[in-house]
Parts: sequence; C-alpha cells; structure tokens
Amino acid sequence: MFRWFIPTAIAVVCGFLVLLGYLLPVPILASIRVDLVRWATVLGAFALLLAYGSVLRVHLPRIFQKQSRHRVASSLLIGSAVVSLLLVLTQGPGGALVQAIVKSVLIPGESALLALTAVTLVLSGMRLLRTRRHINSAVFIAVTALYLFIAVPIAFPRVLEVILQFVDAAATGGMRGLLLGVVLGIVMTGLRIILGIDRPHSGG
Amino acid sequence: MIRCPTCGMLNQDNSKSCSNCGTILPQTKVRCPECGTLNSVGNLLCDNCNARLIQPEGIIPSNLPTESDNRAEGSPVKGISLPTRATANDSDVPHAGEDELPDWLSGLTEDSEEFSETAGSPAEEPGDDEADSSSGHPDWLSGLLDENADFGAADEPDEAEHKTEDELTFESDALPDWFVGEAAPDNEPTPDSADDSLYELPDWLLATADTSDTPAEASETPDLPDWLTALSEATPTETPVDSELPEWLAEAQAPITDADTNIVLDAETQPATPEPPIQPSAEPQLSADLPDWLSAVDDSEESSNIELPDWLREPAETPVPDLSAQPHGDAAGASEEEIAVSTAEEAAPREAVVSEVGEVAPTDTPERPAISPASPEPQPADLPAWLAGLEVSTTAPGGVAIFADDNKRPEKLTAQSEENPSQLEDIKPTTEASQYEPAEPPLIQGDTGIDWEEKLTFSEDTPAEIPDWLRGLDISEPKEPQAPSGIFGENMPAPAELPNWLQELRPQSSPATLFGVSNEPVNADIPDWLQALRPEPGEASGAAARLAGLPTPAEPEGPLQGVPGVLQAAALIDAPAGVKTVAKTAMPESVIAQAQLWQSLLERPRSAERPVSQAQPPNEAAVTLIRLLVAAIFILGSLGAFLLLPEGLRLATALPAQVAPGAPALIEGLDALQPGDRVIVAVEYGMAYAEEMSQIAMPVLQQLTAQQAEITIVSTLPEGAALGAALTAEAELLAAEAEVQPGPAQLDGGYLAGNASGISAFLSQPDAQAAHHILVLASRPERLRWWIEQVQLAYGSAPTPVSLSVGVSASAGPIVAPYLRTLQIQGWLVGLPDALAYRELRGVEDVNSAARTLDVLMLAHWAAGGLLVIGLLVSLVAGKKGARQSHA
Repeated sequence: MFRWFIPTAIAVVCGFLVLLGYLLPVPILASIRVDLVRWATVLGAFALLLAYGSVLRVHLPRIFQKQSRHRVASSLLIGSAVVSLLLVLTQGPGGALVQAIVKSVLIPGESALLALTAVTLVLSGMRLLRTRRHINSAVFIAVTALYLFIAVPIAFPRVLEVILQFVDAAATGGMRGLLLGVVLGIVMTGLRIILGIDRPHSGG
Repeated sequence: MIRCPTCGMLNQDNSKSCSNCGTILPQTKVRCPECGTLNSVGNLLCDNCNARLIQPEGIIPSNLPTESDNRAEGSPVKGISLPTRATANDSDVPHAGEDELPDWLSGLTEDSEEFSETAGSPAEEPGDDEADSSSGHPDWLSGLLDENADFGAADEPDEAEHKTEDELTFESDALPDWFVGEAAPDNEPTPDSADDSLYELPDWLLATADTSDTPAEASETPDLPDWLTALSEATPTETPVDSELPEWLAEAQAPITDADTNIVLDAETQPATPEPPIQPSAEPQLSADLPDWLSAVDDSEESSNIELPDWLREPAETPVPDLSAQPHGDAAGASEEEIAVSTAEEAAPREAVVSEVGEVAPTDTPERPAISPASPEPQPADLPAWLAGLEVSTTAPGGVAIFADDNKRPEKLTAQSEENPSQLEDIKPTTEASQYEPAEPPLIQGDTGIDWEEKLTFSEDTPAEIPDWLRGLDISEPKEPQAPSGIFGENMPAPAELPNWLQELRPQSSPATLFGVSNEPVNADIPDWLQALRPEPGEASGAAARLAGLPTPAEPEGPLQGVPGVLQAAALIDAPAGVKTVAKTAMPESVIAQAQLWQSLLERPRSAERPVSQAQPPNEAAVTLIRLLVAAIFILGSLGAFLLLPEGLRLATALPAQVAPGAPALIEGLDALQPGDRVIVAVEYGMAYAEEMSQIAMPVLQQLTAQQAEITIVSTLPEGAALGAALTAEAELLAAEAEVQPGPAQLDGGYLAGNASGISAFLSQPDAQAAHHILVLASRPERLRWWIEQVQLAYGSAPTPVSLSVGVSASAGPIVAPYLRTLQIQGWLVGLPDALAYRELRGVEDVNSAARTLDVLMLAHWAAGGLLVIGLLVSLVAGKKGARQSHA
C-alpha cells in the first residue's frame, strides 16, 4: 500500500502547489512553486545520470562478452565518454572541440538520418494505395504531393499566391483545431496526475 | 523346499519368507495344528490326524482342481448326470449339470425324491453326502449303497473304493444306489443302514431283498441288493431264485437254448474277479414286486415258456465276450467291471435283470468286445437308455458272469453254459479298438437308427464321458421285444413290462440332442428374431427405407449396428425427446461463421481441388529498381541544381511581402532595438534541423550583432547550448568581417530543464525580466508553443513590454501558423523561402548560396511530389488489375 500511496500523495501535493502558484498571485505559492520546480530539475538531472548508467549496464556486458553488435556498443560508449569528458574538462558546450565534433559529426549524421526518413516516407507514399485502397489514402497522397509542389515558390508568383493563400487558410484552420485538442488533452492529463488518477511516477 | 521367486534361494517348506531376501514365499505346505504334520496346500483335513487344517490366505480347498475336474477338462463330451436322490444337503448344493438334464432325466430326479420320501429319509449320514460329493454317485444310487451294505459288501480298501468312485466317469449318477453301494466307501452299509436303505429300492426289488443275510455274506458282496445276494447263495436246487426270484429270473437259470437270444448263463464264461460277488440274498425279497416281465422269468423248466426281454435273450444268441480280457484301461470300465463282477459272481442268470436297474448287462454295452461275426445280432431289449449301457465286463450275457462261484450258479445256468460254451468263448474282444466300438447293443430292440452310436468311439486317449453302459443304448422308440430264445425256448416270457419309473426314463429326444452331439450346424448365438432384423449386404439402398419404416431408429454403432428397436433407451439415462439442449451462452455470429467455415473446409473432399492463392510473390527486382530510381531522382535533383543549372538561373523565388508579412515585421521589430538591449535567443532545434535553421537564424543574429544587443542564448535541449554557441560565434565572425562593433559578451543562459517549467523559471528571473526581445528559433511546434505561453504569463504584468519573434522550419510552419497570426508575435520566418526574403530585404550578403539552396530544395520537393503522384497512379491501375486476377 505504501509503495504506491506515498509517491502518489507527494505527486498530488506538489502538483497542486505548482498549479496554485501559477494561478494565484500569492508570493509564498510562487516561491514554493519555484523551489519545487528546482527540485524536479535536480531529480531530472539525476534521472539523466541513471539513464546513462542503464546504457552502460546494457552495453558493457555486450562488449566484454562479445555478444552480437559489440562493436556498435563499444562505439557508442566511447563516443559518449569522449564527449562527456570534453564537456567536463573543456569550456563547456562552446568549446572548440565540442563545436568541431558538433559541426563535423553530429550535424551531418543527423541530417543524413533525416534525409533517409524523407526518402522512406516517399516510398511508403508511393505504395500506400496498393496496401490500403481507401479514399482517405488517396486524399492524403494528393494533398502531400500538392504541398510539396508549392512549398518552394517558383518564379510564377501570381498562380502561386492564390494557391498559397488557399493552402494557408486550410492549414491554419486545421492546426487550430488540433491545437485546441492538444490543449484539452494537456489539461486533462495534468488534472489526472494531480488528482492521482494516473501515476506515471509510481510505475503503475 | 521352496525356491524364492526373487533370489532363487531354497527355503524350508514351511517358510513364510525367504531367508535371503525376505520375500514372502508362496505357501506349499500347511502344518497341522494338532500333530504338526506338513500337509499339501489345499488339504482340508490333516493326513495324519484328520484334524482340520488352517489354509493360508488365498487358498481355498474347494478351489483346488480335483481329479474329476481334471477328467472333465480332458473330456470333449459333457457328462450327463442322472437324477440323484435328494438329500438333506442337496438343496443347497446345485447339482452339476442339473440344468442340462433333459426332461426324462429331470423326471427321474423327481422320482428319486419320491423314493426318498416313501422309503424313508435317505441316508443322511455325513458319509453319504461325502460319498456323493466325493465319489460323484447320485443320491439315489448312493443310498442303495447303504442298503446293501449287508449284502456281502466286503471291506474294500478305501483306495479301491476311491478308485471305484473316481472311475465312474459317468459320474455314477446313472447307477442306482444299490448298485453303487459297493463302491462307496462311506456308504459301507451297516446292518442297520442296510435295512434302511432297502426302503429306497423300488418295490419290485425290495421284495427280492433278503435282509436276513449275515453280515459276513454282506461283507463279501456289500453292494448287491438282497435279491441278488440271495441268488448267489442259493443252491442249484434251492436257489433263492426258485422261491424268491422272479419267474423270469428263475427260468433264466435253465440253459438257454434259443439261439436268437444272447443270454448265456454259463458259469464257465465267468472270469475270475477279485471283487466279491454281489450278495444275492436280497433277491428273494425283491421278487414280490417284480414286474410282470421279471416275474415271468422262471426256472429253467419254465424258461422256455417265459418270454424274456430282449436283453435277456441276447446273450444266448450272441456269444458273450470274455470281458475279463478286455483291456479296459479307463476307470469307468474298470469300475463297471468291478460292479458287474461283484454282481455276476453270485447272482443268478436272472440277475441280468438287475442290469435293467443298474447293473451292466454283459452284452448290453456297446463297449463290449466285438461279437463274433458268426453270431447273430442281438435283439434290442426294452430297456431304458441308462440301464442298457451298464456293462458287466466279467459277466456273461444274461448275468451269468455275476456268479463268482460255480457252486452258486444255478444248474440251468451251468447247463446253459455247458450247452453254449462256444458262444461265450467266441465272444471275445478282437482288438482293443473294436471292443470300444459301439457295437449294436444286443438287448436293444431293432435298429435304433441312431447314428451317434456308431460314431461314439471310445479310446484310451480320449475317454468319453459317456459311460459304457450308455453307448449301446437304443433310445429310439421301443419295439416289441422279440421272443426270447434259448433259455426260454418255446415258452418265451411275456414282454417285460417296465415299471413306471423306468418308463419315464425313456428319452424323448434323440440322443444327438441329448448329448449335444450332432453334425448339424449350430445356430449362431444371435436369436432368430434378431437375425431377421440384420440388414442384407446388398440392401444398402433399401436399408434406409427399411429402417425408416421401423418404429424405432436403428442402432448407429456397436455390435447391434443396423438393428432397430433392440435396446430401449433407459428413462434414467436418455433425455426425453422433447428436451432440447440450449447453449447457455450465446455464440457470436463471427464464431458461428468461423465454425461453419471450418466445417465446410473439413467436409470438402480430399479430391476436390484446393484453391490456390492468386497472390503473387513480390518481385524483388521491381522493388530494387524502384528504390534505385527514387534514389537517382533525389540525387539528381539535389546535385543537379548545383551542377547543371547555370549560376544566374534561379528556379525558386522569394515570396512577396504581401503574401508573407513575417519577414518585414521581424525586420521592423529588430530595428526598434537599442544597443545594449537584452535579447533572449531560444535555440529550440536539434542537430538534424541545424542546417536549415542556421540559414534562418544567421541573418537575424547578424542584425542583432550589428545593433550591439546583449544576446542570451538559452535552450531546453541539451544540444541547444552548443548550437547557440556556434551561432553566436559565427555571427561575431561575420560582424568582424563587416567591421561592425560587436555587442556585449554573449551570455550563456544554459540549459533550461523541465521544458515549460524551465522556461517559466528562467523568465521569472530578474535578468530575464529585463529583456526587451525574445527570439525563439524552433524546429518543433510544441517548443514554440511553450515559449509563447510562458512569455505571455511572465511578461503580462511586466512594466516593459517584450516583443517576441519566431523563426521555425518549413515542416513546422503550417502548424504554428495560428500563432503567427496573433498579435503577440512580431515577425516570423518560416523555412528557407522566408530566410531568402529576409536576406533580400536586409541586403545581407551570400544571397546566392541561399538561392541555390532554395533551388535544390525545390527540385527535391518536386521529385518527391512527382514520385508520390506516380505511385498513386500506378497503385490505382495495378490494384484493379490484381483484383481481376484473383477473382479469375
């Protein structure tokens, strides 16, 4: 009982205090809110260290026991160790080595992965109707193709202006509806956590 | 010694467990509790002291096989059991084979019971019962054993008696008590018991019985009835026969001269027998009740005028074989022989009549040695079946052989023997096999027409259970007895008149059915009424119609398959017809449909063509070609713009200010800043969007640097700080190149943990409260939303209003469009086109590289769009085509 009750109680009380600190212009509630947020930040940082420790726990046995993909695991751990050491030992994220690694390794690598994702999405779009023959699929493909054609304006602004105004209006209206749904979901999720209905912090 | 079944160790006979391994040993000996003698397991009484033994567990003496059982196992023919005289204990003991008795034998049982009632209680001595149970004698026969105890029954050894008892294969149930009396050890008659047993005899025998005989004489012939004993003691002139014997028997003493009869009362033919003869002293007592046919038998002088029954006449006609030479090996024959000898030695020739009661007529048995071919066939007598088969092995036909002493023989018998010695001598067994052949019984009248007689062969190896005296039975319709010859001469006695109790012995059914021997096929166990319901093999088509017309359905399976109405359903087991089982839970339709599908698939015959899936496997070459084509298009589009397009040619263009007012507003807002104003730059994009966002952020940072604003770079992403630092460094470099005085040192706000909470916490700080402008560079819409919301909260009541400008990637542009149209955002840049427009409006250098990048982006977009359209068209056409192939 106490395994889930105490964490739930703490989470509920802290959530109420932070929410009241946001809503009510009471100085003490504001200070409590600021302190609780800082404590959560510290816990988040500690969670980051725990996550790094979990990565080591998974990949180190794979390296020492020479299991499958032990070379990939060794590359991961070496890279993380080097960057961590550089960040700690050098001037921080603005250091020359860090900046060099970022510009020469991280940015090109992630850009390549993003480009690969784009190509994969195009191929999947090409086979969408073969696997799922539905009007919604056809509309989706058509709209996607149209946006790709008009995303970068060509040197024919008159025609492009009409299309862009139409697309802009439709997109704006759709996004507003999505944003309203997102906000409502956020409010509901927050209340469920504050009231203890959902207990993501207790693992249940 | 007992061998252990486990280890093989030899143990003492009385050991209960093995001395080596301790295994419980099977008991083979039983120690007497009285004397300690070891007896065989199964013995009821001790062999030494006759004390009752305590059997080991699981051993019941009655369960042990007996000699009679062993004989019964080897006998192919079932023995018959003649009706026995009821005793006190018999009511609890089911007679063996009693259910199998035919009616004529069953009736005899009733008559025997009547005799027991009229003659007094039967010998209820324990010995009698034991004798019956042990020896197998019927009650009515064993009773006579007691009666005739004083008829000269010798003190035979028990072994002989046991042997005699055991040798009665026909289970001596067929023998009357007075006949078997000499063989029953326990029935050793006493003077008192003998008198009592006489009451069991029929009246005609009682009259001839002589109870005054001395025990000494009785000891010699213990089993003989009185009248037989009297006959043996009588002198030729003073034979009891003369006075006590019936007339027919008295006449039988005279030599038989009729060649037709087989009766040979010749003393010379009497073989020497060890058994004491039957006391004929009782014979005179029986004469009073003799039937007419017996009374008609007179002395030799009148014998010619007396009409003898056939069985008496036969010995004169046919030579009597020397039964003493018969190599009778079986116990039955020996027992009968002994009995016959005991009766033959002392009885008069008229004792042959006794055979009618229970004695074996010497020539009546089919097992007698073969009669010489020269002798005429014996005339069948009017005897019942069970009497005619009695064998007198050592007696001459007509009972002459029963006389053990020549002095006791009547003169007539002797004379007859002298007259016809050849007849008797000729009657000798020819071969061992032939003597066992069921020859035509001499005392049986006519042709019996019974095939089974001929087929009944007796051999030593397979002793038949049918006694010898039954083999020659003629159980066909009795015929008129022929006039006797020889003994009676012209004065043939009147046909014998059987008493009622003998008349009833006549079998009504054929011996084939009596003994169960028949060549006819035996019907199957299935009764006829059931056979009729069995469907014909060829009525497969009509079986259904036939069964449909039946009142009850046929059995679907089992041994009674196809037979209707055989077994009625039990009310307790079968449910009523009106009751229908209802499923408690309702089955969903999908489950029912699935079950029906399975059923249809399973019911499909194996020969039916199975549907073949029309789905073709994917073409690996086509898939690879498509991938290569897509890759080539993208590469051409991205590199072609740089390689193929001329430097002055621009495909992409910036949007006009009327269409995209974001860039001009941003420029206006940034132009309002004063040198030293604090500007917070939020780097909210990752490494993947760094190239695009740097194109957007760099010109803005160049302007802020040129205006000498205090830039504070913060980020809610870990990598945002590094990206921000890189941006500021490049911006300062560009400012230096532009020879613009840089602003204050760039402050590093650091990493803001907690996303929106971190933003809120940062904005609540006094340094952040003093900011004039906030520039948010985001690649994701939610991060932009966080900043917009927190800025509104943090600076709503601030004394100095703060402006907010936004720079987002092209992918987040449509999503953040609603925010961009609000008043809280002053200027925005979406994607590379707005970045190009901002550059063009500000007059920032390196516009060509931005234009070229935009051209490459446009070509990539057109390639992706074109591929999607192509795939859409191909899917529409190929999908229909594939569907047509599957349905074909």
